[in-house]
Amino acid sequence: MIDDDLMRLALRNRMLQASGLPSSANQAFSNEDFTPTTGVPYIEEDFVPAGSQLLGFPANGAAIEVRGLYVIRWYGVIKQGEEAIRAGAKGILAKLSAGTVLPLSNGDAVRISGRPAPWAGQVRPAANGFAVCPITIPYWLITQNAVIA
Amino acid sequence: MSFADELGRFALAVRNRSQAVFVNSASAVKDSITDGSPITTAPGQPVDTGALKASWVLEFPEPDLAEVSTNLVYAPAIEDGEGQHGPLTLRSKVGGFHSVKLTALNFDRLVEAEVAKAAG
Repeated sequence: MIDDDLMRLALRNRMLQASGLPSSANQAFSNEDFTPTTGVPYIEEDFVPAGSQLLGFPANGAAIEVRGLYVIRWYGVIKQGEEAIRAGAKGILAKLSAGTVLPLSNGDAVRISGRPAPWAGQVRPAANGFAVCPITIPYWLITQNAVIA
Repeated sequence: MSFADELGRFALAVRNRSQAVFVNSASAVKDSITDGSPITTAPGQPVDTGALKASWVLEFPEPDLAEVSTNLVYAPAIEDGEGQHGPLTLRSKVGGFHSVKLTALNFDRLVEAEVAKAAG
């Protein structure tokens, strides 16, 4: 069955293994309270489910494909070049590269997509003395659909 | 009607349907980005003054090329949801973030839907 929470935590736990992350005090997770500190790099997380589609018939017990995006925004200090921000993005992309498989406790596995594959976007000026780089990790999973009477 | 004529009619019908799928898929991409879509799950653009939503345009620079774009400088920041723990406050009752990425991710499903419509 689809379990977005298991998927979200698996992606987050894998991301947290990346090298060079800001300290835990500077990690802003989805829907959690956080206040950035001026001049201190931090990361923000978005978990974005992107719908599912039945692949078989009948619906009960059929395979169902789930897709989504796991987005990390890396905020570095503005006007300090791109190197530090790109190094951070590279660390996350290395841990969540295309083809990576993350087993879940319910027997399913989240897979990092190859089409499109993960990517880090442009480093852009953001507010309050930061520059931001969005890192997008497309994922997918195939699980078994259940129709409950 | 000869067999050659029938083949010609069939080829024309295929060409017309392909063109319809192409144009309608491009239009569906733009609608997904601006208004959201249950197929792509894109939420569409947030609306305050309406400038961002209205800024997205669909153009066909070549017969087999479609482009959806915006020229607003703050569009990427809205797309990526920047500053959620900073200055950004999403007040709009409609729309959200990541509409372009979600549309791209589920583009194949959009085209599938248009092909099904064209097939009748």
